[in-house]
Amino acid sequence: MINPGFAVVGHPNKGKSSIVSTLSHNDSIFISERSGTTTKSFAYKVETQRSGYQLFDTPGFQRPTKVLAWLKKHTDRADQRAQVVANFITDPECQQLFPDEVELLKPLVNGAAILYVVDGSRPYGTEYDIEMEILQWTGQASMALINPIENETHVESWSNALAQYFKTVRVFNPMKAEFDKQIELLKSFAHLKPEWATAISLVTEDLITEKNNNKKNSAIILSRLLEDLCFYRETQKVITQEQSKLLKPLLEKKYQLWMKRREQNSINELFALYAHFQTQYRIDDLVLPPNLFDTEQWYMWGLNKIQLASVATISGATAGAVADMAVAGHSLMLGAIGGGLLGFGSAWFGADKLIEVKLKGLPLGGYEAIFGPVKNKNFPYVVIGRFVYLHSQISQRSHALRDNMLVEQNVLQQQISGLEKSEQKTLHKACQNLLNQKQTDNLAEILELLF
Amino acid sequence: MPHNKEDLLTQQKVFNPQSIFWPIVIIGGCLGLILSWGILVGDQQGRVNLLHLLFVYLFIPLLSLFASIVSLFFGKGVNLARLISAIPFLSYFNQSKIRKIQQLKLDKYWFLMQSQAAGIAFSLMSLVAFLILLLVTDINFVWRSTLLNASDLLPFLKIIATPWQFWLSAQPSLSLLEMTQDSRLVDTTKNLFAYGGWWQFILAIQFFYSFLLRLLLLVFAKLALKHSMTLDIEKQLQAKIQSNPKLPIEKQVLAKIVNQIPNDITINNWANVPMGLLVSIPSLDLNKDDLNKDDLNKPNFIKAGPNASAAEQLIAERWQAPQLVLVKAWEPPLGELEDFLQNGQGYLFPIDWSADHLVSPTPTHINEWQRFINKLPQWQIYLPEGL
Repeated sequence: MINPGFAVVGHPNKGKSSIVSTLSHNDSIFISERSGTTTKSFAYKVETQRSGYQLFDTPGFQRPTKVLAWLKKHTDRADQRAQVVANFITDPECQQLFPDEVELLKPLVNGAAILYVVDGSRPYGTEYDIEMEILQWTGQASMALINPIENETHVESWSNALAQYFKTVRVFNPMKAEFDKQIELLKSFAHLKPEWATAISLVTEDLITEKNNNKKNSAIILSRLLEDLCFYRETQKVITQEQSKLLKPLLEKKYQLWMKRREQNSINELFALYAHFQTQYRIDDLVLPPNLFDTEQWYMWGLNKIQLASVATISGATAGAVADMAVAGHSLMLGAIGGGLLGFGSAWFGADKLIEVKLKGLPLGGYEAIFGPVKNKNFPYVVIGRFVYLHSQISQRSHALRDNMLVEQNVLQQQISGLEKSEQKTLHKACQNLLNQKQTDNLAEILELLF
Repeated sequence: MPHNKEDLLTQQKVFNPQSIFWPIVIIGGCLGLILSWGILVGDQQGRVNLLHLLFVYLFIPLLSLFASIVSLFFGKGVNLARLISAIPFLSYFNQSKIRKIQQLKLDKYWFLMQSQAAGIAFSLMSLVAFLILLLVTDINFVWRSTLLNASDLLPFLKIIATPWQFWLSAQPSLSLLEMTQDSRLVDTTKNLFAYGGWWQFILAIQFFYSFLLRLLLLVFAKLALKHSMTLDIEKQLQAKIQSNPKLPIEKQVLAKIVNQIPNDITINNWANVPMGLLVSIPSLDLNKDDLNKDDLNKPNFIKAGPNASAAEQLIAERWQAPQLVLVKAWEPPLGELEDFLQNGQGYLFPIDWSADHLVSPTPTHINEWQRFINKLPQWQIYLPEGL
């Protein structure tokens, strides 16, 4: 398959790197308010499941007047123009005098199509004609993109000017372009060279599939987050009940820290899922319900009364079974049954005495300070609401944006009311299960409906 | 994340799914020891039924192995470890781990791995029991059957012994079978030394069918678990986060801005700013009468840049006196301008306008010019007060 390539060219600081960043879903591309930061052409491969294409981020034109003069000086014949441009990029003197133009023309000489970028919020000037004329000399397929950086005031005049040089002129704001707009633009790339149409078509199909997969994966991340937050508890064993109460502030702090970082972890994963690695964000801490502190008694090995009884029953039954084996089964399993009953009875009725017993100075029982888990029925919905809202923000966020993201609280009501009654019921049941410390096998599938 | 040895954020040890859960292994080992010991002790004469041993060391391991594999691929992955983990007090200690592996959808392979570890422990402890009893007591291997005779049994035993054909002394033989056939009604003590002859065969069965197969399945389970972990979406995302560190923040050095320029300074209209706008800037000291005059004829008004003619450019390039170069504030400085400024001196005046009136340049644009001029010490940024 032919691998399409597109060189994003134009004046410095008109959003070339932003366009590359948005279309390649790569937020590591250096975007600066300072012009001239891109000094070399760099190819960014956009690889999808079945296809791919290349985007070339290029330096801006720096000395277009002199470059055009050089080109004109070397030929006045239209059939030789492309060759003269090729000579230009290999000429050592040109490489020294016009490094930026040599770099930006390289991918074009190698067959990439032209994506010429201008700022639609600033007026057209005749100085741009020189750049467009140079690009014409390459003879490559081309398209103009008007990037309305601040506003769309001059889009119309730019459209008129660009139509003189380019067959296709489109308005594309890389900072605001949502997924559908990006797909629409990619589809229009297919018209530049017919031989690229299949590859581009596969790219767009794959990107749509990938987006749907991302929703599934977001639901998986949320299901795990939800489970972890709902199941988590901080515990500490102590000797007396008074000691356990003293631990409350410490456990509370540890619990809150864990919950906060667990959520941050999932948010970071969500950003990574949508290939946002550079975005800084600020989010309000989860508001945790009150009264999460409790104290429980514990016995040997930290077991509670029922668990201790279970252990004793099994141990007694095992010992009895060994005795049964020793008499080759002639005891009719009475050893196992009796041992089990004896174990259960002694554990159940003697458990409370264990607290007072010490083995080599170590107590065989005591109290356990416990913080969590959350039992408040609204808590799962708060977690889901925050995450779903974040997902809606991140999944539509342009990779060209470099500002900090402020996440505001959101309620889930809108998404939930959009579900069918049976789906709502399933969701409520899953949330109730979580609060009862029970896992739901298909939690991710249930949550996926909210994305 | 769950797969790290320690969660650096919370300083808590976290669960590594690839680690062996020792209680299950210990239970497997104990079962192996107790069961083997119980069977190998035999009856009062120390007789151990060979066919019973085949049942314990061949049939049960193979059946459980088969059941584990079938359940792994077609069922819920039921095996010894999953059953043991359901014991209340074990599930208490293991609750969070089991929840985590279920959450990561690793439970089938995890239980399979633990089950094989328990199976190996079972096998090793069986071997230990077997070797100890071989050493300290006389085990008499006999076989009894109402329906089968030695020649019926031999082909079956030979098939079982196929994996260790190189181990000749552990191969079954018709004579050994005939010599060790037992009957509870007949005194069969005439072949006293033959009764111990099966020990190598039994040892080989234990090793190949119990230990080795379990070991192979343990390796498979561990690899499958590792593979599943690498495919896990969160694992992949964490790896991506690690490989995409945050980029450093760019540091900027800005040139100072001046609000005053010398009187009668030469104006260079690089940006081709409309004259109507220029006369509205008091500090330029232009009057409306100049609008209709030819710029070149004014002694302190020159032109260069992409909009200048060759003649205008030449004059500007040769100009030695300080200049005030007018540029479009929103356009970034190009190399052409930098080349031009290298040979001159003076001030750069970024101008912004909308329709026919001047507007204040944005701080972003001014910063860009300040960064640019910082590289050219003979030039300064000029911005009249009020703009």
